[in-house]
Parts: sequence; C-alpha cells; structure tokens
Amino acid sequence: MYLALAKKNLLAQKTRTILTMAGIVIGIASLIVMMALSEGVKQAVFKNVAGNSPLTQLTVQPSQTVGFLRLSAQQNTQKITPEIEAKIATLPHVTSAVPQIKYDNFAAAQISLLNQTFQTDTMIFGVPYEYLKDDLAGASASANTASSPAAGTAPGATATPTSWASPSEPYPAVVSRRIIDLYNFTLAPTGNLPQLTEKDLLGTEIIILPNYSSLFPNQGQAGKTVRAKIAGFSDKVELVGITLPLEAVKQLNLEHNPAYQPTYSKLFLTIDKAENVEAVSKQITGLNLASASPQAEIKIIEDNFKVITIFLSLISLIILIVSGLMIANTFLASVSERKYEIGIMRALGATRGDIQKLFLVEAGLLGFISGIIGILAGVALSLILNKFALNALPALTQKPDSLFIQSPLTLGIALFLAITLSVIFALIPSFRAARLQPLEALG
Amino acid sequence: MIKIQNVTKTYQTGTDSVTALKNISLQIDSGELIIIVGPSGSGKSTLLHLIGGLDIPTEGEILVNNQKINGLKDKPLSKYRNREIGFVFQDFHLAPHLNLAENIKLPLLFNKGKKLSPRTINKKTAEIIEEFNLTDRRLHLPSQISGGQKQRAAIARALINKPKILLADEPTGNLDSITGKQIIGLLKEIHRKNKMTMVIVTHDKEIAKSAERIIEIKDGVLVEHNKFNKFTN
Repeated sequence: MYLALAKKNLLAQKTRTILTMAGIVIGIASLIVMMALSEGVKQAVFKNVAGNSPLTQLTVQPSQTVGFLRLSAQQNTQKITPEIEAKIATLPHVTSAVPQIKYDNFAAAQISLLNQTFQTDTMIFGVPYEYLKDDLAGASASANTASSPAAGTAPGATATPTSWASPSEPYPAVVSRRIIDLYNFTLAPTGNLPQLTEKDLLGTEIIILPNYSSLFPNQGQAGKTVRAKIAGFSDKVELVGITLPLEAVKQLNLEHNPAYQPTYSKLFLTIDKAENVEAVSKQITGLNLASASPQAEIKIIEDNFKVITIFLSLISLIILIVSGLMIANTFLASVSERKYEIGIMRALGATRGDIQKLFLVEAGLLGFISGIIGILAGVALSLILNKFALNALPALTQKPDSLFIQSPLTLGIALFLAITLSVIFALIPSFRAARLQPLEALG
Repeated sequence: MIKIQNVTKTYQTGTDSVTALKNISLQIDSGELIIIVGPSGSGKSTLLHLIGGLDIPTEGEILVNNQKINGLKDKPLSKYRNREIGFVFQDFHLAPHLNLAENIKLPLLFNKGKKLSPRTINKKTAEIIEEFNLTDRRLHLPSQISGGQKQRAAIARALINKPKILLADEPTGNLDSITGKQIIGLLKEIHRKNKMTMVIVTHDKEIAKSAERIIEIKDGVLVEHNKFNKFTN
C-alpha cells in the first residue's frame, strides 16, 4: 500500500523528484567511479607486486640505516657471508637460498644501439645462472651443460652452472624488464630517441669497463673489459644495473682485489608456504639482517590504499550528505504542500505511524531508484574513463587490463547507502508530517 | 449509541479564547438520523468533529457505544475513525493526485484489522464504485469530475469500511440545488437501507424537514427540537 502511494506521490511531482534524485545519482555515481578506480589501481599494483615475485619469496639484505645514523652504524652492519648464507639456508621452512653479489667498484657500460654508442656508469650484480635461466630468451636452448667460463673467469669457478657455450662467447647479461619502460618514458621522449622493445635489445652486446667511471674518468684505473650480451629480461634482478652469472662477478671482484672475501649483497629465499614467510622474516631480523617480501610490500600497499579509499569515500559521502540535505529540504517542503492530503488520510483512519511510513517509503523508493541510476551511471562512466585511461597509459610492459574495477560489494554498499541516507534524511520531515492533527492539516 | 456529556470546546487563538461549544450534553441512539442546524460559526461542525474523533473536547466526555473517545491514544483513535466512522465533508476532501478508485479505497488500505489482500480491496472498491454509479469515472482525477460525482465518491469512500456512524458536514454546501437534492436522497436511502446512525450538519431546511430529530446550535448552546414545525416556528 505504502509503495503504491509513494510511487503516486513521486510521479505527482515529476520535476522535483528528478531534481532530488539528481543529487543522489551524482553522489552514488562518483562513489562508484572512485571506488572502482581505487580497486583497479590497487589490483594493478598487487598484480605487479605478486606477479613479479611469488608470495613465498623473501629477500634478505644487510640492515639498512638512514641519515646521520649511517656512518656510526656502518661498522656494526651485519654482512651476509657464506657462513650466514649457509645458516639461513638451513632455517626451517627455507627451501632455497640464492645469493646475489655486487661488483664492489665503479663500472661503466658501453652499448651500441641505433647506430650510436652510449656509455654510462652502471652497477654489476651476480646471481647463479640457475636462478635466471627461465628469464633468458630461448633459455632452454642456450642452457647447455658446457661449463667453460668466458674470458676473465677463474678456472674452477664453475660450481654454478653457467650457460655460455665457449670462452669466446660473451657473458649472458640479464637486465630489469622495467628499465625498458624507464627508457621509453624518460630518455626516449626527451632525447628524441625511438621506443625500444625487449626484442630490439635482445642479443645486443655490452662492453663492461670494470673499475672505471664515465662520470669521474680520473678515479680508479680501468681494468680488462668484459663482453656481455643481453640474454634476457627479468623482474627478479636489480632495476639499475646489469646482472651476470655469479662466478663472473666474483672473478671481477678478485681481479680488482686479490684479497676479496665474498659477501652477498642479497639472498633470495624461497619459503615452503606463503604463511611461513613472516616467521622466517622474524628469524632473519634476529640475525640482525633486514628482509623484504612481496607480502610485506602488499601489506604496505594495502594500508596505503585503505587511506586513499577512505579519503575517496569521504568525498563521495560529502556529496551524498549534501544530496541528503536536499532530500530533507524537499520532503519538508512536501509536508507543507501535502498537509491537506495528510489531513484526509488522518481523517480516514491513518495513524501517525502510517503517515510516517508513507514518507519514509517514499524516501526509500527515491533512494532506491536514484541508487540504481547512480550505479548504472557510475559503471558506465567507469567504463568510459577506463577506455580513455588505458589509451592514455603508455605501453608499459606490465600494463593493467583495467584501471576501474567494480566489485559487487561496492555496488551493494552504494545502493544501501542511497536508500539509507534518503530514509535518514526524510526522518525529520516524516516526524513533522506524522505530528499534524487531522483538522489542522485539513485547514 | 453516542453520548455527549457536558462537552465544552474552547479554541485558543493567541491570547484570545473562543468557546465554540458550551457545556453540551446529547444522546444519539443507534440507527437515528439527526440533523444539526444553526448559523455559521455556531459550533455545529465542531460538534461533528468531536464525535468523529477529529478533535478533542476541552471539557466533558464523548462516549460511542460506551467507549470514551476523548483521551484515546493515536492508534485506537485512528482505528475508531477508520472503522466506526464514515465522514462526508462539504469540500469533499478527495486527494487531488489520486483517481476516484484510489481515493475510495483509502480507508480499506488503513484498515489493518481486516488484513485484506490487494485483490479483495480492488474488488470491494469496484463494487462500491458500481453501486454509486461511478464506474466510468473511476480512473478520473477529482479535478476532472463534477461536484455531484465528487460527493458521491466521498460518500462511497465513507461507506467502504461499512461504519456504524456516518457524519456529514454540509454535504450539499458546495453543490447546486438539484445535485444537493440527489445527494440528500442518496444519504436517506443509505440510512434506510443500512439502518446506520447518521448525523448531518446542514443549513438546508428541506433536508431538515425529513429528519427524525433536529438539533439546533446557537452560540455554542444546544437547542433540541423534536419536530420540524417546532424548529421552523
């Protein structure tokens, strides 16, 4: 009964109903768009983080200190020695520990590309060949059992399987996949250079100049050059630098410093189960080492996104509250205008509760219709914005499929909010309507 | 039976107070047709509103079938208005944005005791609309029909819950004489057929002629006349 009467009342004042609804529609649509954007960006970031490293991965590195504490703390920084590595590798739940070493001196790299030769300072990292073999282009083909090291590597330093086929072959070098994005969106446009793809770079030779800085040419003394060839791209290697087989980098360090005692810049651990990562991380902290995991990263992102989501929700909520005030105003005006009708109903036996319910059902119906329209408008707007956003986004190597993701829960919450807020803001007008005495209302 | 005992009604307008009814006592038996006459502002409509539970007396008691009406809380009072009373107003009081059928069915919608299904409500509405010869006007808005049709619709609405008492406040006041006569004829017919208690407030002496009992109110005081001649004299 209330619904039928509410429908009649809303239709009786079409223009006013549409204007009142417009406020809620805008509020709900903006809520939908903002929540979809928040969810879309969150999922894109998660996908990126979780996609790059499985959730069972944990990276160990020496404790880091910041600012002025660095100098005083440096002496006490725990290094990752082979003994520590062995200890960590035998910790419960650790299924594998892959070490990474760093070339301890300056290094520059020369690359011939697009008929030009570029030279820049770089960092050199080394990891066991096994660790990256899946990222090498045609890895299975090139990964043969031949273990002759390239020129410059120490004989006998071949405990780690290496891939290069013969001493004349350059070292297989792996670079970060994201470095291409970095080049394409910073260097290329500013230097008027062409865009590059992984395919363009694969097989390109890099001349590494150990113990030499192109920025400070007078520092150090250039050692024997080392030839490397881009053999693949990976998300597991350092962003800035070139990653070579571990033994090769060890050898480079030894050449520079014959008393070199290997220590690792990082250890890449694989944990048996994702839920055990935190426990292992605590044990690592106990060893005075730092650890980082995609899980921890995701947690930080999640926390940050909570703040962003709350902020965006607040904006939408403000819009909705403003629309709610509009509803309150409209219904207050409506009570004055419909005094006569209220009087008739009261004279015919409607209780105060009936009159109140009539107004609240009307507000709920208004909220429901506006909510549905708002959701449809929000979804449509999200789709349009998504299309524009994806077109505008550069062709990243890990471009998200969608930047606006609707969750059914958000749609449900939006509809609930539209109805609830409409009803709440119609409460005072409905009380006022219910308080009218029949004769007073009939005039 | 309606018992009005020492009822006074005073309206407060700012610092002034106006007494519309002064210590009135009256008894109306079940099935009686009573006409209340009197000049404008004499208090006759006020008396009708008090009987109908639309207003409350300042002093005194109103009992309907031994139930005290004044002092009832909102729910039982609304129930009384809905089931015991049928009200016909001078200005028809039809909801302007509802069509005739919707207006007529309103008391059924508020009759929670019967718990009628929408189908039954529509059936009952259709029956009474036909009885009052308004079928072809059932989907018209009040603004689209004549005064006589409006009043017929208002009477149909007053009767749809089959109340025991019908209160009519100047039912012909906004109608031309011919239509007025038709409406009075209709009310008499309803009284005759349903044996219901009927109280009609009017100026019309022609209507008064047919009354079993005439009550005259002058300046808030009640004067009872058992016969029309006595009243006209």
